[in-house]
Amino acid sequence: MTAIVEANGVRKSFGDFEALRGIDFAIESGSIVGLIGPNGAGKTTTLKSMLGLCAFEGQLHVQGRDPRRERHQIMESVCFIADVGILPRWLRVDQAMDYIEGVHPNFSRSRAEELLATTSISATQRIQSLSKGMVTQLHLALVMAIDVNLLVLDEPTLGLDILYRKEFYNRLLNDYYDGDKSIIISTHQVEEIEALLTHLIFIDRGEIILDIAMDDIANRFSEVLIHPDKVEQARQLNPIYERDLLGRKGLLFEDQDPDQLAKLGEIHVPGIADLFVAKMRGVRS
Amino acid sequence: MYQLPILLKREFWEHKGIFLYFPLTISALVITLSLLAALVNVNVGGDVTIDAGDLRGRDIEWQSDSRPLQDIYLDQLQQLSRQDAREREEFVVKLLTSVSAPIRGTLWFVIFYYLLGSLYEDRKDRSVLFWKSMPVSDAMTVLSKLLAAAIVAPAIAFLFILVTQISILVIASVMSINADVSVWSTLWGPAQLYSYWPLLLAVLALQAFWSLPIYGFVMLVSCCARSVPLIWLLAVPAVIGLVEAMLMSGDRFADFFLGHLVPLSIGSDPENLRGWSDLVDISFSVNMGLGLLVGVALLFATIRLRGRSDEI
Repeated sequence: MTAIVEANGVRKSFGDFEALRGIDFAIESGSIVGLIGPNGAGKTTTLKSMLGLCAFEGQLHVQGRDPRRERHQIMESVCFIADVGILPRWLRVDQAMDYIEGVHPNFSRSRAEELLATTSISATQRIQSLSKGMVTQLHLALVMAIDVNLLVLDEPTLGLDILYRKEFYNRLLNDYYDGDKSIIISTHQVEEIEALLTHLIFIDRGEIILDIAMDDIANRFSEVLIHPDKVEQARQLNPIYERDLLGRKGLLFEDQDPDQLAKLGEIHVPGIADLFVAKMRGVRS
Repeated sequence: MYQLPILLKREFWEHKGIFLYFPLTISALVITLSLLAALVNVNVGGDVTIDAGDLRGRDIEWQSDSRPLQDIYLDQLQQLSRQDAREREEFVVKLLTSVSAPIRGTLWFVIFYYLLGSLYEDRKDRSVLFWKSMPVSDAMTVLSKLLAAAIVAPAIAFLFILVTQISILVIASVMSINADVSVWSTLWGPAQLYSYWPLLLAVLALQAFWSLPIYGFVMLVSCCARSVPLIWLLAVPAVIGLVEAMLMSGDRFADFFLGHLVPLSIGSDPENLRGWSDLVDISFSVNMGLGLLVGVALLFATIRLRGRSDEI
C-alpha cells in the first residue's frame, strides 16, 4: 500500500489558538478514512491544509506534492466537498458543468449528466434556487463525474435530512468507490459512516488521539458486558470507559488479554461512538 | 493556458450585469434621448427674463426666446454644412466623443467595481473553496480576472460605443435630409470613422497597459482585505501620498498614482491624445515603463497572496 497523504508535524495556529499541534498521519490509497472529532477539534483545518486551502507549518504531502505550492496540480487528482454549499450561488447548473469541463482534464460531462438525471435538479437552475440537500446532491454528482484518486469530504451531510444523508453515502459507496480510490470523511455524526470506513482517526484539540485500521479495533479494544457482581474485579484491569446497560455494565478495555476478559463476561467489539467517547474522556480528564 | 477561455467566460457569467447590461442600458438611453430630441417638438433653451414688476407680486411679466428643439438642430446642421472641412471634422468628432462619454466614463467605474470584488467576494461567500478545489493555478485565476477587466469589459464597451455612434449619425442623417444638407459632406465624411474607430480601439488597448499599476493595486487590495476593501483602496494611497508630502515634501507618488488613475481620452485639448503620434509617445514613455514595472510587481504579490488567502 502506498500512502496518498503523508503528514509530519503539521501545525497551524490562529493567533494564540493552536488549531493543529503537530499532527502526524498517513492515508493509504484505497482506504476510506473517518476523521472524527468534536467541533473545533481541527478536522476542517487538517483537510484544508491537505488541499492547500490554508497555510500551515510542518511537512505535508499529497501524492508527493506540497499543497502550499502545488495546489492546482494536486487538484487534478483530488476532489473536495465541504459542509454547507460552497458552490457559488449565482452559477447555473449547466454553467457549473461547462466550467469544470473547461478546467478539469478528468471530468466526464456525460457521467455528470447521467447522475443529475437521477435527481430533480435541472440544468438551467441557478444554485441559489436549490435546497441545501439538492446543492449537496449536485456537488456530489459533479465530483463523482471526475476521475480522481482522493475524495475529501468535510462534514458533507451536515444539516441534511436523513433521506439525503442515506442517499449520499449509498451513492458514494455503490457508484463511486471502487477500491482504488481513497476517501477521507470528516464528521461528528459517527454512527452514519461506521459501516463505510476502513480506517479511523480521532482528533481533539489539534491532536490525533487514535489512528487505527477498522480491522485492528477488535484486536486492541474490547467491550465486556459484566454482571454487577464482577464489576469491582473488572475495574482492576483498568477499563478506559464504563457505561450502564440494562442490568449490566459495559466496560471498555484497551490492550487487555482477551482470555482474561472472557472470564468476566461476554466480549464484543465496541462501536465507534463508544470508543470515541472513551478516548475523548481519557484525553479530557 | 487552455483554461483561459472558460475562466473568462466564468467572469462574464458572474458579471453579465455590469459587463453587458450596464453599457447596453446606457447606450439605449443615449439613443432614445437623441431620438426623442429629434422627434418630439419641445421648446427649450433661450434666456428667460422675468420682470418682477412691483414687490407685491403683481404685474409679473416674463418672456422667453425659447424655440422648438428640432429647429435648433436643423439650424445647427445648416450652419455646420456651411463651415469649412476642419471645423466640420472637429464638430463631428466632438459629437461622437460626447455621445460615447457616458459609456467610457462608466466603464471606468465598472472596471474598478469589478476588480475590487474580484478576489474578495468569493472569499466572503466561501465559494473560494470551490474555485480553489479546481485545478486552476492562482496565477491563472488572477490573470483571468485582470484580462476580464482590461480586455473583456472594454471590448464590450467599444462595441456599444460603435452602436451608439452609428445610431446618432443615422438620426442626424435623417434630420439632415429635412434640413436639406448633404449627409455625406456634413456628417459621415468629417466623422472619418475609418480612422476614429481604430484610434479609439488603440486607446482602449493602451489603457490596459497604462492602468496596469492601478489594476494591480486594486486586485491586491481585493485579495488582502478582510472587510470593506473600498476603505483600503482609498486609505492606502492617501496615506502614502500624505507621508511623502510631509516627510519628503514631494508629490511623485501622487503624480504617478493620479497620472495612471485618470483614463486616457481622445480630443483636441492638450491633456488628451490627439492622434497616433501621441499614442506612440505615451507607449514608449518612462512613465509607461515605470507603471508596467509597478503593475507587474503588484500582480505577482497578488498571485502569491491569493495562494494563502482563504475564506473570511
